[in-house]
Amino acid sequence: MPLASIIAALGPFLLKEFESLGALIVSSKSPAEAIARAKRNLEMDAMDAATDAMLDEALKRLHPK
Amino acid sequence: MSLFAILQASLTTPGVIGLFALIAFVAVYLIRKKWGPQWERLAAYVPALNFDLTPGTVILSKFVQALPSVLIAAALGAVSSGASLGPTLLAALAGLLAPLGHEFAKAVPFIPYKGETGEAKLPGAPKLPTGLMALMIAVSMWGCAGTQIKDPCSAADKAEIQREYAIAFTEKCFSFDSAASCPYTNDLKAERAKSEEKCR
Repeated sequence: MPLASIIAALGPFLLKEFESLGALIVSSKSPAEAIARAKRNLEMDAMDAATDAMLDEALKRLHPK
Repeated sequence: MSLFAILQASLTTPGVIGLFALIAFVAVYLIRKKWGPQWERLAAYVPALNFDLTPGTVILSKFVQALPSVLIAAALGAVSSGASLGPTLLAALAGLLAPLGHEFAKAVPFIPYKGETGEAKLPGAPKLPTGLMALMIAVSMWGCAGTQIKDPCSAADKAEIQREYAIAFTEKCFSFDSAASCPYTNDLKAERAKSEEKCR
């Protein structure tokens, strides 16, 4: 795959990820704080995903096709 | 086979870009440290672009600042590839990463690098005795030893955010057959994300 198409495909995703990671690192006072915040973000994301999946499943059971 | 091709075969293209960016960064760093005042004088020849801070002038000024590392990396690319155009352009692009690293390292509070140029040495500048410095470091580390990073959100806070989201979602989306088909899902998620800001 040519480099240009890889950059075109992954560019926006990587930019977004780097932007949020960069913002997290820059706004932290120490590496320990940056790691702790990154860990918390992952936990919150996992919790959100679990809630979303549970509610989606509930709607599907409520309205079986 | 050129040196560039050998490097590319052993490190892959991103590896070579990283290597050239690192070399350009170190070269510019050493030049700025060693000949700081001369570097500043040279930089002063560049037309003043800081009369306003519109994105255009900031980008232009950063572009001018990036030129030395781009030129250094491009020269490396040209020399190692026998003046092939492709590797030279790739190396020039790698040179652009060096000022990016410089800006990033400057912005991160816990990286001691501040990107200053070296200053002219003043004669007879007093030096702190090594023993006293070690004592000061030891005392400051003692003060930090008990510092712990606390989670700004308790488990109950996090559960409460999810509970509120679940109630709002159920109220608005119960008549739809999936979360994806409910038109309120995105708004509700945005509201939840706002509530979660304090926890992140």
